[in-house]
Amino acid sequence: MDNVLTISNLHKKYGKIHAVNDLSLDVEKGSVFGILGPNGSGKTTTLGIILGVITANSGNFSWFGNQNSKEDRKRIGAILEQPIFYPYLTAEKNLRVFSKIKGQDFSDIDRVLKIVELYERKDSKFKTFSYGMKQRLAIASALLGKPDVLIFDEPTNGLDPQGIAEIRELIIKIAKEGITIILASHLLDEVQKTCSHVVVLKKGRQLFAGKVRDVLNTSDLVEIAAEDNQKLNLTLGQIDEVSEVNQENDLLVIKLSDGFTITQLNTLLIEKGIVVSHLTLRKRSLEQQFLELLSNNE
Amino acid sequence: MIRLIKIELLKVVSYRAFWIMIIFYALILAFMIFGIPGLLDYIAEKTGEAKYLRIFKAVAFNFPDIWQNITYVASLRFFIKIILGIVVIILVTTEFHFLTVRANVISGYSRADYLLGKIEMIVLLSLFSTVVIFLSGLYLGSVHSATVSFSSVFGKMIFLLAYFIELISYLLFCMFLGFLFKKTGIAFIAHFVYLIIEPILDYRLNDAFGPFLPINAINNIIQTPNTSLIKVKTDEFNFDFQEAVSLLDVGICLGYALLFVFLSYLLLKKRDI
Repeated sequence: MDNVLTISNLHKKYGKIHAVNDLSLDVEKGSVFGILGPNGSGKTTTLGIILGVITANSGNFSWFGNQNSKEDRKRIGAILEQPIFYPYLTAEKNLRVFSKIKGQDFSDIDRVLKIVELYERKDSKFKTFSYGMKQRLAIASALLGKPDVLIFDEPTNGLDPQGIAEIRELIIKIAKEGITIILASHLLDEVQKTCSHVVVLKKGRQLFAGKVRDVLNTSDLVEIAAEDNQKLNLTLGQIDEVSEVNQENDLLVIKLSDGFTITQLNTLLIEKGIVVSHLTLRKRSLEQQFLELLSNNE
Repeated sequence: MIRLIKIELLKVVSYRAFWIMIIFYALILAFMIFGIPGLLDYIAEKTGEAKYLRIFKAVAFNFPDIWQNITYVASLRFFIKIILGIVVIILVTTEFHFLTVRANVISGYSRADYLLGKIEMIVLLSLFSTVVIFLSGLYLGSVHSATVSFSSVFGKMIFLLAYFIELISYLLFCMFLGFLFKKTGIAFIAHFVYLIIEPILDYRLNDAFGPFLPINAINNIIQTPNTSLIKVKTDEFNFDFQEAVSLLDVGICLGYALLFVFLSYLLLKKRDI
């Protein structure tokens, strides 16, 4: 698989703060790559570096296997943090500026404005737009000239629920066309819904990198209780598929290894002469898993 | 080259503040150039000293001296060129304010492209100003000169080129302040404070250093014209007035221009944007 982007051992310090700490990652062509982490974990700094606006203290990155140059950036469409345009120019005139910078003519402007449904407002000044419209114009600008890679930094920040849904739909639609997408977000749900690959950052360090379904697929917890919890606890300790037995009030909370169901567990316990009074699967929310992932690496 | 200036023009195409200031500048410049003869006539009429003023007018607006006279007035450090300086500061700092400089780089500008775009804009503004002065001078000179010959019109026209270089250098200084401070207000204040400080420095410094202070050096290309008005020399009044543009002055001025470009580039290169 071709790599669109390779980052190796990237460091960026702001005084004492190590915003990006030894980050290495590869983004495969055609993937939807999520950069997940709480606010201040170095997502935007990383994107700023690979887009040429922030200089790294050390480390390398390369786009499309080339050395970093402005020509690579012309093949990338990006929105960083907030929609940035000339407020006194109309939507169309703003896109003219950015088309020219990308070395294109103006022929793609109408198409991208139609995609984000701003064509009717193309002669309105940027400063008259609502935040959602500004964000959509930023996406239109990123789409100019059909780039090979799209970068979205917190694309749904500051949008209302309808706007969020629209933007996510748009991203998924674009991804289906085979464009590589890099998406930074602090919203786990967003990454889970849109991305195929993910890197989890915390305080500039990489906690995890891999496929979304791997990182977000740790086994579920089971709540269990019996008349005699002490005996139950002992018995559970003898079962190989059970790990991490924790007492929570009257309940025991256990973790089952992959593929071992609660029905199998129940059958096994009955064979060992224990009748349980309570047995439920505790589905962990993704949010909880994400927080766990972060706290495990404290 | 052409691409970068086209982009710069696209950026300002409907930037009202920019156009208002440019038109304001052109109007004041034209008013100044065309207003002075009228003002002289008015004074002449009121005071009855018509004879001397008529002589002054004939001398001041006579080819080829007119070129030195009007470029001198247009390039005075506390005068109208400040309007263009403000325009340049605004063009540089608003892009930091709106973060559009970042969007420019993300979209495929190198930092050198960005800087070059701004420099080209400065050259264009200077060219515009020079052309306005040229056309005004051509008109005024032909009205007020007794004889209009090829050599008299084009003699001393080198002062137009000198003015062009001087204005570019001054505007590069303003651009540098814009890159240095990034904030419009602070760059304005720094600009005016420096304009006031430099004469004080000049006064304190050894005479040998004073002319090398940047604004002094830039302004030194076109000095106070004498232009055959008072060609007297006495023991008390023993100055050499400028008759021609000195290459050394131009060299020092261009040295500063290059320095401002270089420093601006360093700032752009080193800083995160």
